[in-house]
Amino acid sequence: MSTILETKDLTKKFGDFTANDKINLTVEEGEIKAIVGENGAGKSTLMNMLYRQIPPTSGEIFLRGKPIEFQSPRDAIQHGIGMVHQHFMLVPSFKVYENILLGTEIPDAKLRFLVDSKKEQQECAELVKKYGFDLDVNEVVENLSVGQQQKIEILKMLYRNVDILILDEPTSVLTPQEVDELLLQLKELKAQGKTIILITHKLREVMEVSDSVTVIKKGQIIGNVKTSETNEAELAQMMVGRKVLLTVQNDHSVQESPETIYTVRDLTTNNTYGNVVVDHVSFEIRKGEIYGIAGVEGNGQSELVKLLSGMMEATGGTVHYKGEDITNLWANELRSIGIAIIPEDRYAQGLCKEMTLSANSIAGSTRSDAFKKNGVYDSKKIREHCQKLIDRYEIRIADFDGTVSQLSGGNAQKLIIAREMRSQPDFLIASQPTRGVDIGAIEFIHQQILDFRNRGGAVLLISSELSEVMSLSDRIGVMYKGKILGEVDPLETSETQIGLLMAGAVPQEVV
Amino acid sequence: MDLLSRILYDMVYHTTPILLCVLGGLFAYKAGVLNIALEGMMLAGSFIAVFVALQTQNTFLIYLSALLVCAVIGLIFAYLAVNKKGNVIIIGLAINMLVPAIASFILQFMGVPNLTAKWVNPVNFRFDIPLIKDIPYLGPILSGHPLGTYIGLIMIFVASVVLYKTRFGIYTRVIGESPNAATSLGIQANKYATWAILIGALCSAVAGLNLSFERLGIFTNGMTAGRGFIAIAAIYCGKGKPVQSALYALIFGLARSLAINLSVFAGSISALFDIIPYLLMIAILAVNSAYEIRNFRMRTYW
Repeated sequence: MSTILETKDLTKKFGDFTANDKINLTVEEGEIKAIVGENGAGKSTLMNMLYRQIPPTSGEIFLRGKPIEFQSPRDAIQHGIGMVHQHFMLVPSFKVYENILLGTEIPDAKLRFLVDSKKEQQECAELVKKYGFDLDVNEVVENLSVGQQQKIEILKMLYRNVDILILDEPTSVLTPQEVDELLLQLKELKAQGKTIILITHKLREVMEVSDSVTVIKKGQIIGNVKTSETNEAELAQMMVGRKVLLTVQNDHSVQESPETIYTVRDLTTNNTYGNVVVDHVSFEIRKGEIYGIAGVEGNGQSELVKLLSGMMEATGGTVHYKGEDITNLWANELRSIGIAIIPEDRYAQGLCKEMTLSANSIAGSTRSDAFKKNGVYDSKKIREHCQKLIDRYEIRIADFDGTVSQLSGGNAQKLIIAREMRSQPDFLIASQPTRGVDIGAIEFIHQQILDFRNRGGAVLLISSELSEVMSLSDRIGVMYKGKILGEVDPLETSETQIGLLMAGAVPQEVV
Repeated sequence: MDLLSRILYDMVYHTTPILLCVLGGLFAYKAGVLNIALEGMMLAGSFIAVFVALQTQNTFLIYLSALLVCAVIGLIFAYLAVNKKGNVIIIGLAINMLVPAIASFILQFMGVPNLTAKWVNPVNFRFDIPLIKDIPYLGPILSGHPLGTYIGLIMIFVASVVLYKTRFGIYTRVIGESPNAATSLGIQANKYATWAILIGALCSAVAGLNLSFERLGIFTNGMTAGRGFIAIAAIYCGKGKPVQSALYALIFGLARSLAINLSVFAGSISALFDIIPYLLMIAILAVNSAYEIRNFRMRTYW
């Protein structure tokens, strides 16, 4: 095997912040190279430099031993480097073939200024067949599942004859079955001679598919290992720099009381296009129980959370909390009766990035007199309150009087949890609580949720990380196309079984 | 000509400047740039056309100068908005205020209340189209219009083809809908956005020409009277699709035509009819929006 891609002291700085510090990466021809690291470690920055989405500050890139300097992504593609981004770069209203050929349209034989869509469709259909993908090239992209959209992204690069395919977190939005399918496809592509660079933080996939692993931490390479000579625990330890528990200790033995605290009945709503996105959803949660909702993203979980946290209105159905009808209450009313909310997007709904830590620490309880003196806010009280939260939850900050934008994802999330827990709620809605959070903080957040449950609180946990839902929940409802397709016991159900539900397969027996 | 066919002829006639603005402006809309400067560009076209007509009777030069000046304004807008990432509302507003101010200054400098090119006889600028003019009922409505009207009608077809069948059109739609997809494939968003804005500027120039030069041979300041904004309303209601947007332009043309033809019967309150197009604009936008958000369940502002 020969080296196909190499970087020498590749560095990227954003202002004072060094995102990549003298990276020396070596990729062999025809291998599957996994690049792992925590969120914010600099993996995506590195890949974006290879693909020339952003220019490097200093350092060199060598392709087959020759130094290269790309001017644009198009340039990179012409040199045989293609990238499948974590967030798809597709045009939703365009058809599959239009997306695959975007940027390399085939002109009409006679009228050169027109595009020959017939020929385009033909070529794409042939391409789909050649690589054995299952896709209709005339379908409009927005009607396709995420898994299918990812195939379009891969095809887009294959059409351009790339030799090196970079995939950025490709499995984060797929069902377990789709993940397996993708991994198989990657092996198939490798067999056809392609080199694949896989960026991920999911170690199971790394172990399953890759040939070698490079671990990045805080913008630096801290290890290169052969996959066959390592294991998940060792990689995790390299990523975090200390021993981590990959799963928190969850003793499901905590006695569940029969008392139902939260009941959702036939909850229904539609989106802007008039499509029903939450379809007669019903479940109930007992005291001291974590009810998890699993599902592939985009199956109504997001809207369900918005409904339950007062950000969206239901067109039908009811929600009862401690016997009271709380359907369609506003968020402040929900908080006042003891419901805490960890929203889906911590910056869009949870925090105001441009405001100070202390201002954010009282968000949601701004009407409370506890922070006021003679009717106006007392900054001393607010600051004391904020300091207490920071101490108690070990939130790492740089500047107490600075804005929230200084916090890392994990610490921002801790601030939300600290704020929400302070009012001593009885019920917690936690939506994607560990999204974009580093492994160390995940451990902490999971422990917090379990502790809350063990103290007798009830939790609704919505997450697209199946392993998270499986390890924390006492019961799991699986959502598919706006409905809860089945309810299962995580202790008696395999990931495969849940995966089938996530893909819409109707269960033969429901626990 | 009976009243009905007069109203319909006038509808086409008055649709023209709006239609031209719509078909040019929808490119910028599709490219994701809100071009509120259509109004100012149109006024610049009107002014330059008659101003040059005072110096020369060469029609070609008159067209050329109006197109050139609007192209320059379009490039300034594109440079500030696209290259320098300025706020499009403020830049557009500045152009909309600057153009009448300059026109007003020149008028004052020349010591005239408005510009009149006496040699222009609007009848000479109206063309009959052979064959079409002989079609019963339709002929008198579609034929006998100035050049701008025909350009506008042909543009509906041209805009559809350009937008959906050429690379330029495809890329224009991509940079508006998913700019990241464009960048990831090396499609230069700035280039296409600039061209899209430029097309709007050129079409506005033809619209302005039609309004002042072809129809009257007279320029009065402020004569565009909000047609550029009506065009924006039509583009939004038609979601930037050429045919749909053109139909909305036609509705506004009809309103204008009704206002003029019916005011004859209204006597002293005839001026009141002039508000019909604007009233209609608000009504259409409101109904359109109400229809769009009928399924909106979010409690957020947007």
